[in-house]
Amino acid sequence: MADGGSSLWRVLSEAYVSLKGLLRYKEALFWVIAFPILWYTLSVAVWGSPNPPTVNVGVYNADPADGAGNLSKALVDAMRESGLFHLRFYNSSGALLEAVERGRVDAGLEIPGNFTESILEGVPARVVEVYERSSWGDFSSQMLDGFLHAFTDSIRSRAVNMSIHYLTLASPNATAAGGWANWSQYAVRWLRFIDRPLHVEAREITPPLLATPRGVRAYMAVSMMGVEALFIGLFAGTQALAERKRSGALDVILASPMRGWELVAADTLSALALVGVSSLAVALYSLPAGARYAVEPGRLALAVALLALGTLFTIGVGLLAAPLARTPEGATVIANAIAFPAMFVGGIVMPPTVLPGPLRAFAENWPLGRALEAARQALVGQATPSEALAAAAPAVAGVVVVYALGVIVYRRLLASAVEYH
Amino acid sequence: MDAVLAARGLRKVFPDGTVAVDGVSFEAGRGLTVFMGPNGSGKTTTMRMSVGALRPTAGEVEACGHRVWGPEGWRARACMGYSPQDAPFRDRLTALENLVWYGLVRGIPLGEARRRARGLLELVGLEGGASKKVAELSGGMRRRLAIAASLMGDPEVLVLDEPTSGLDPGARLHLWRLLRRLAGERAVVVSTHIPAEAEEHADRVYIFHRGRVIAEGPPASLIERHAPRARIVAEGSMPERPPSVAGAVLVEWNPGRAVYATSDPDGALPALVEGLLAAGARLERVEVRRPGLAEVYLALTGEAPAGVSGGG
Ligand SMILES: Nc1ncnc2c1ncn2[C@@H]1O[C@H](COP(=O)(O)OP(=O)(O)O)[C@@H](O)[C@H]1O
Ligand SMILES: [Mg+2]
Repeated sequence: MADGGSSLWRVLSEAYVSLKGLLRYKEALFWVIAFPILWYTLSVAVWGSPNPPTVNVGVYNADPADGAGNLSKALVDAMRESGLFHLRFYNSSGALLEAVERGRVDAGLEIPGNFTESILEGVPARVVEVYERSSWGDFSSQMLDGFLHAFTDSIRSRAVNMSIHYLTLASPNATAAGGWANWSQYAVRWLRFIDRPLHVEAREITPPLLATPRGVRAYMAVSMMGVEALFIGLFAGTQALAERKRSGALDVILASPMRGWELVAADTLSALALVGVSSLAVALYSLPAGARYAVEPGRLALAVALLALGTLFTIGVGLLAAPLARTPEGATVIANAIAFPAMFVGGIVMPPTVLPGPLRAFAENWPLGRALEAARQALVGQATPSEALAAAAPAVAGVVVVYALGVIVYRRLLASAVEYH
Repeated sequence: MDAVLAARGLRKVFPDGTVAVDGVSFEAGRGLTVFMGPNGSGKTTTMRMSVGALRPTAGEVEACGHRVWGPEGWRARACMGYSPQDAPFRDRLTALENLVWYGLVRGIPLGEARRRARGLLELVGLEGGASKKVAELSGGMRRRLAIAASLMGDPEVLVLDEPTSGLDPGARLHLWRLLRRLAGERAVVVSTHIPAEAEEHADRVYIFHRGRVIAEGPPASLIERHAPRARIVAEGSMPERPPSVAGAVLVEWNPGRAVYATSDPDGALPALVEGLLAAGARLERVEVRRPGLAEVYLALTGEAPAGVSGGG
């Protein structure tokens, strides 16, 4: 074999051992398969169903009236049916107060004894809302407020319609004198205005995939692929030399016809293969977990390319950090120290839109963030593939620069390792 | 001996100032070339510079007609097979998979690498261990696997660092026989710190001492040149005064033991035994110790080489 064999196989050598070793090394198995699936499962459990949150409301209803005319009962039933509240009943205003204070319920509603009676007599009725001053307490009371307003609106509507009814009954024969008729017409119009000063017209449209629970699950699955691109790339980059020095593999490689660029290419291919396996595992797991993707060959190919792009970037960052990693343990620390914060502030596990200003700008613009968001958009279907591609385009330049610098740094490191190691 | 691997004036100074190798030259052709010397004498460093793993501070290495540290260095590397002292195997991959990795690193296609790995496992007597994880192999099996690994590229030169250290005598002998067989058709360079092994198996020995080669040649001629005299060791209870014996020189005398040196042990032995008995000695045991590379090392450096007692 004095011809030195073929580059292709040298470049495949590392992918061969990583894939062969994946199932046999527990730590590799954990990071590549178990970790993303575990995290995905937790994310779906916590954020995967975009149902409105339920507010626990304690109710003390002192209104004794019963039968169909009981308005307090109508109010409580309507609250229950809305699905927004989870109700608990108390039989004194003290018990209700205590429940709110102890946090057993998020807010309390006290309906006094004369509630139905007052409304029927046309006297303003009174309810008491109890809540704690905290963001969740405020939120709960606003939910309750909103509901009570809707209820008030319906009572007002009835009152107004009743007024209109009596007004037209009281109206003398319209032919007699024009004055009264004009006035009553005017009054009816005015009352209708009081009843509904604002007409809100709601039009329902089919929601985009992302707004559905299944879309959110798909979005999260692609996010997990991003987490893997982040970790695997950084580990591959920072470990590239440290681990080989320790094991002695560096000597074997240096004594082989393998050249520097082939070694970098081999590590890159191995990282890409692991991200690929990991992504496939997450994707397959996410389907029975309810995720739905926009599956078209173009979108799929684009998403694969974008994930690969993101992985190249993280490998590049890892290679840039490699000179700091003198031992495999040091490399692990460095990789984690970069990956963990980046996962949160880089728009990887959470969409950039939930991040505060400057972080959001970072998350939306650093290459992995951009590539991943474009991949999510492509697979969850909010953007057309060409829009996603356009969104990711600026990342390509960043990836090329960082990866190229990483390769330069690594080759220097290799050159100095040949001098002494 | 046509040299396939040759080094001239190799020198290595590490950044901490250690001069690990200081002007080593050697030539290795078909047959078994052994680097012999105690730990720290520069064998590993010389090998690493020779196979292209460590750049020399000064000096030249050529393998198969190409300069290892020249622009065509990859050609030189492609014609050598190297196994470090602790071959870096992945312990949870199988013996076969590890060999395939060595093959891929040398640019051999996957299918071909598999085929070749199977053949080599058979050659080194590991055919039953192909699907065993490396972690489950014994020390001797691991060393044989390392030899198979260095053969993956079908090299013209095999460079093996301490392939027998840490093995029991049986496993050692087995390994040397294998190396002998391999040396029949290619250049095999092996290091050891055990003089007896070098003496018994080498075609040519380089004796390392503090980063230099202090002697070289076939073991017999090294012994002939540097330590020609055998020792006759007598044990028992010795009289006050040692008798003088023709053709033998007294080296050691104490109440339990007498040692004479001679260049003609067969001739001197009867006279020596007679002389001792006549002087009143009671002999329990008399032994002729023929000189070996350990004695050569001792003669050249005044230091006993490590591992003399551990010789297999
Ligand atoms: N990477 C290194 N850095 C500094 N000193 C080293 C290094 N490698 C070997 N040495 C030193 O060089 C000398 C020769 O070592 P080595 O070649 O390993 O000898 P041997 O293989 O004969 O035991 C020793 O003193 C050793 O400590
Ligand atoms: Mg050594």
